[in-house]
Amino acid sequence: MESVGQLLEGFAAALTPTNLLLALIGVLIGTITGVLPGVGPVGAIAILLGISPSLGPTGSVILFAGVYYGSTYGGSTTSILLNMPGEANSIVTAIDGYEMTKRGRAGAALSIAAIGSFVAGTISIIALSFAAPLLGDFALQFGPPEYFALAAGGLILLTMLVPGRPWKSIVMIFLGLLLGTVGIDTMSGSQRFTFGSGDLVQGLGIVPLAMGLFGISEVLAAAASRGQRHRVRAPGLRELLPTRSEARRSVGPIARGSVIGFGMGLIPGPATLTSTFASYVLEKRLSRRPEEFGKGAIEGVAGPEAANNAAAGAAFLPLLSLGIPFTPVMALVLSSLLLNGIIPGPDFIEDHGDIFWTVIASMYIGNLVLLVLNLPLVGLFTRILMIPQHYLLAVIILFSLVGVYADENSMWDVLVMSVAGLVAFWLRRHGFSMAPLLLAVVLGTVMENSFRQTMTISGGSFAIFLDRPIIILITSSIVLGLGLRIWFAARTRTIARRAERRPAS
Amino acid sequence: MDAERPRRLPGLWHGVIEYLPIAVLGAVGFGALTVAGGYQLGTLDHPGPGLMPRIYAVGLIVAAATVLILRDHSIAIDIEEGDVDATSSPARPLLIFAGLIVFWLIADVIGFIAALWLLFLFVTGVLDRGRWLTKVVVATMTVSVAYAVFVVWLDVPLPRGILGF
Repeated sequence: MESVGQLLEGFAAALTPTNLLLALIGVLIGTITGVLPGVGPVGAIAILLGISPSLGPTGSVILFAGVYYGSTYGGSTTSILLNMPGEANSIVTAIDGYEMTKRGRAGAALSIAAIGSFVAGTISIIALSFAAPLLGDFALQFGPPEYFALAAGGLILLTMLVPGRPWKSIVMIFLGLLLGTVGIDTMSGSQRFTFGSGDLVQGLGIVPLAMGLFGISEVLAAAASRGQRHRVRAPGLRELLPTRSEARRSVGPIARGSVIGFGMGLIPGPATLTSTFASYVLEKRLSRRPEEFGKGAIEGVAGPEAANNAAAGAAFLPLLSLGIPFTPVMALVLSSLLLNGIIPGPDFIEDHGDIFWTVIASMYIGNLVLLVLNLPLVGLFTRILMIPQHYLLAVIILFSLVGVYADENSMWDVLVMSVAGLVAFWLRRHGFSMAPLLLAVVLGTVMENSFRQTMTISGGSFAIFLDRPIIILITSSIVLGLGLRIWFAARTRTIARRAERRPAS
Repeated sequence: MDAERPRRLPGLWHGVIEYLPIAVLGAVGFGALTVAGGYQLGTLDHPGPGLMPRIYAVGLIVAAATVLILRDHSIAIDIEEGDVDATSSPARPLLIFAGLIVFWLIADVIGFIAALWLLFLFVTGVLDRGRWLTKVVVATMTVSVAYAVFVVWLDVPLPRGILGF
């Protein structure tokens, strides 16, 4: 009951004009980001990170949360209407969503996607409201060994979950860990890898790094490709109504997608993407009409859309209750809190309950705003795709530059961002992913400090890692996660091999 | 069956292009290990600031070497691995990067906003050969919005150069 009272206080704070406006701006920017191919929520939040100190901790998280779940919604719009996922999370939605568009059912697909996103988002936020304080209480038992196990385990799991070759992710993780050591060592006060430069003493800032790795590199990647302009007919308001049968067939997939998404959102890695695949496979298996999948089955839209929105909400749980980000977006949200002098962790809800409950309340509101605004405005959002690419890219560069400068009033950060952008563009061309690198930079400090503290506590004995029940729990979860990943990969290969053999036979 | 093979980049420098990133990353690892050698290692019960950088550097070298060993020996870039098309020309991205460096050099001298305006025109010019008048108008409008948001609303003290803005 205490949580309900605090949540109501959170609603009172979230409903102030400034916070409401930030939630609205967040979901609008997020939706636009989702609609535009390539930019993605990480790039958008990275660009906005520079203004975080001006907005304060609550305002920043409200804005960034809006961008995050707005983008998961926006991506589905272009997936359904154009077979062009604005971001990776909507790839699965395109399979049946676009088929529905070709059959003249675009409106129904869009509205089911919106309703599924809303329901799953709301379920996820309700679960977050009650689970975060419980996990926070549990995390109070965490000491340095547990934090080391959690950070190291998160990075190990990440190598297996990021698409591409695991060894390339491992290279990026070690590079990120090394970059995270640049500057003053907080435990001994000595300088590392500063080479006599005053700018490097404070270390490489997360803001310029994130903006370079995700924002500028994306602009450079888009500049390398030939931009296309798209024309699309958005459905009218009347066409948005699903039939009774479509609505009935969507209920189960939305409920199951919400559960799958929330569960997978708690695992490090790209859960908003992987949960959509898991939901799609499950729905196809459970369906009485599996042959309709790939040809415009509404379940193929409802389930994955619910899953990715639930996963987006769940991703906040490890950050707000443990202070550990498991995704690049959460690493940026963590950075925004740190920029405002707030250190998330087990005490976060106790010490900064006002911020936590205002953010949770704003998520409820933002989710509702998405549903109410986005369906009628679907035509407007798709028209954004008609803006010439050269203006869009120039605008992104412009706001990135002002944003990164605004963070520390430093031209050095502008240089770091530009160089990080070029290096990231170059490495991405060779199959290296930037998400493990950024997470390693963020988690590196936690990992190093907690390891050194652990060794001091234990008098240099590694046995401490075997004595602690929570570490055994964390290790078992990681082993289970790795096992599931290996099983899933093997199963996918078997299915692909069978599919290859079938036409030949 | 050819369609299933990774696409190859044209030109003589296939091998260099393919192996350069991993070679550079390995070299970064060696460099970091050398520099970290000068930091205090400490003891197991009191690890010094040099312990983790050494571990990370060795990890980077080993991981880079593993990527190199596990690759097939063809001098091809598997474009399906990257999320950026490896066969696209890097000319325009390099020009934009050059523009960013010039911006960094001149922003303090001529003023942040003036340099932004010039950069906006440069970027749109690199990406599109259309009408300059439209670009000038759009650049002026966008920079004005950025000025209103960051300088007027959020009070960000952007550098003012000889032009005063």
